[in-house]
Amino acid sequence: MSSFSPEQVRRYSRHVLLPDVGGIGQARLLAATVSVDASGAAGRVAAAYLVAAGVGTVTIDDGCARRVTAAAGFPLRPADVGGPLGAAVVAALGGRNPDARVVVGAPPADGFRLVIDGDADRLPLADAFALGGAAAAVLLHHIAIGARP
Amino acid sequence: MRIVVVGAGGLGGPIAMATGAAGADVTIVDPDVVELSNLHRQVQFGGDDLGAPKATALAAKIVGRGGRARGRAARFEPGNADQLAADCDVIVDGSDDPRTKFVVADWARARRRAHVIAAAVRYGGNVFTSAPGAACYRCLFEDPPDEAPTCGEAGVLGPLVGWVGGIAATRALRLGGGDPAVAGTIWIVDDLRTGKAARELTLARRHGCACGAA
Repeated sequence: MSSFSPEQVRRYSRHVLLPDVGGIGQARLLAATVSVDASGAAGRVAAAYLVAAGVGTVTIDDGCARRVTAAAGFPLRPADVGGPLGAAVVAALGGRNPDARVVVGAPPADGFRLVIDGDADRLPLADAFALGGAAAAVLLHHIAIGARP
Repeated sequence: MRIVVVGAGGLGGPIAMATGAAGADVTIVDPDVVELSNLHRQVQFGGDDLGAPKATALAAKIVGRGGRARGRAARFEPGNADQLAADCDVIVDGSDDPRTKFVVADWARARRRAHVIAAAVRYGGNVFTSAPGAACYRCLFEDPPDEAPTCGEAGVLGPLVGWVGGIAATRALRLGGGDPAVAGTIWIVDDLRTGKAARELTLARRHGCACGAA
């Protein structure tokens, strides 16, 4: 991790310790592009984990050109209800990690795409964490070991 | 439903937020402050939380989303367990300390409370669930390990804690709602890299265990 800043060394220390990740795998995460279908609760949770892990660009799929509902939970907030969903997710996650750029847009032609089976806007938050966490974990490992989209 | 969550980190965060969002009254117990090395997996926190006591910071986020929660900046120990958890319906451990898990499990067994013990490290995790009459934690693990790697020593894939924490939250809510079906079980993901599905085992009470199994 000689090319990482001291802050990055600390932030990603629990990843770099992992077999299959290390500095090379973390560098792949920092360079990766992932598009996330955030129309469901699990997708939004997954997006939060991707940002936290330092995925370089997280695109919130603007196919979800819908409004935030009262059922929407973390990472969204009550004040987000009624507003545009994509923009709300970007606002909630955009400032959380200086290494991750979070934008609204159509899925890029290259990069990874995350769509979670069984996801729904009204999914209980416990299920959203379980589904979204599982999906994000598998994807991060996939990226870290150098698999292609 | 009153739930005590021990640990406000990678597991405790999802557990507390999910049970709080489901309407539970949540008390969070954790002695630590938010550190930069937490942020790759503790999505409940951001840069603005660095240095803040985890328990109170997490509770504030639950309250900010309309939930009921409070934080206690303390380590869950035999000497303060009754004070911290006396009126809970379910206690959930999401700490990163094997000894704390046994403190929680022993207290819950002695006070006849439903409890969930969650753990995650590297690429795997498990969720143990118990209630009075079912196999207890010591039926399975007997004693704390002499050596067990923590996330700080062995690493952990960030979103794994969301997966395991979500499972733990679901089981806590089921226990608190009076559903005993998950008591005496352990849910396990051995290593997500294998692609194998998580599995669940139903446990028998161990003969001679302190829980009184015959």
